[in-house]
Amino acid sequence: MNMLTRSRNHRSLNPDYAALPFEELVKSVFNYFPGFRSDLVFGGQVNSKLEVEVKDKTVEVKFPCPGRCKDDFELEVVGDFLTVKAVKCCKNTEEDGKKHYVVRERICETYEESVKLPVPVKGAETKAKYVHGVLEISIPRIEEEKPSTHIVKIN
Amino acid sequence: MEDKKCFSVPENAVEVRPAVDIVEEDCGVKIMFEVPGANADTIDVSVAEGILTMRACSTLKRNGFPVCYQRSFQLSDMVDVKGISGKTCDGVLTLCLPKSERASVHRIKVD
Repeated sequence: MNMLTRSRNHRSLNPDYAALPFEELVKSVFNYFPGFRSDLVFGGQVNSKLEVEVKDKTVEVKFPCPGRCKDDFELEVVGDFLTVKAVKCCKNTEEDGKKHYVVRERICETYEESVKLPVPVKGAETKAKYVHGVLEISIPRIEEEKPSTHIVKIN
Repeated sequence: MEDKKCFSVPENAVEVRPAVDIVEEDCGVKIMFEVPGANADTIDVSVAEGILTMRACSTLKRNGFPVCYQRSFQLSDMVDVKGISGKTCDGVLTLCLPKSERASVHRIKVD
């Protein structure tokens, strides 16, 4: 029984049909060709899920990963490199195979990503918490030494 | 569903289409939306003219702009709209859409 009918006016209701920025449109096309490296066109890591923000005293990293629990994550900070790994969701059970999925878009597989932080950090003091499906990581910055000034007297 | 105060989306928000899983069960349909960074206070679900619309504001940002999720589905008359319930946990919104009385199986005894 189909309780969700296809809307006749789906074009006006479905945000998919809203005008997409050209860059997003091209990215969505390239995703269907896994052998094609879209980063060659746009540069950098196109599909990065990590959001890095540099603040005065800390580097804040947010990793959206809903439907997990805190034990699903592994974090490593080596020098200025942060590695985030989300193992397969602990909430997946054998019952998933028995469910009748009409639509299945959510991905709950292992995901790993490494990123070089833009500033030197103190990895040993990293703190992380999982709130509302977002892994929030806070890493203190290494205080930069102020350059010393020498006045040279010319004889 | 309970009436809630007006839900407002920031003008400069980036609209994101959340991934969903739809599971059909004996008693109805369950829809699970991925809305990381959103909670019960920042989620709005409404049904108007048979169209269910989910909107949620997230604490996440994309290119400096706040992220908001939105997705709509058209419901058939097999759904008991007044019986729709939802809960959110770890960035996943689960809506339960029960079948209406009309959709229930009525077995008729033949004398």
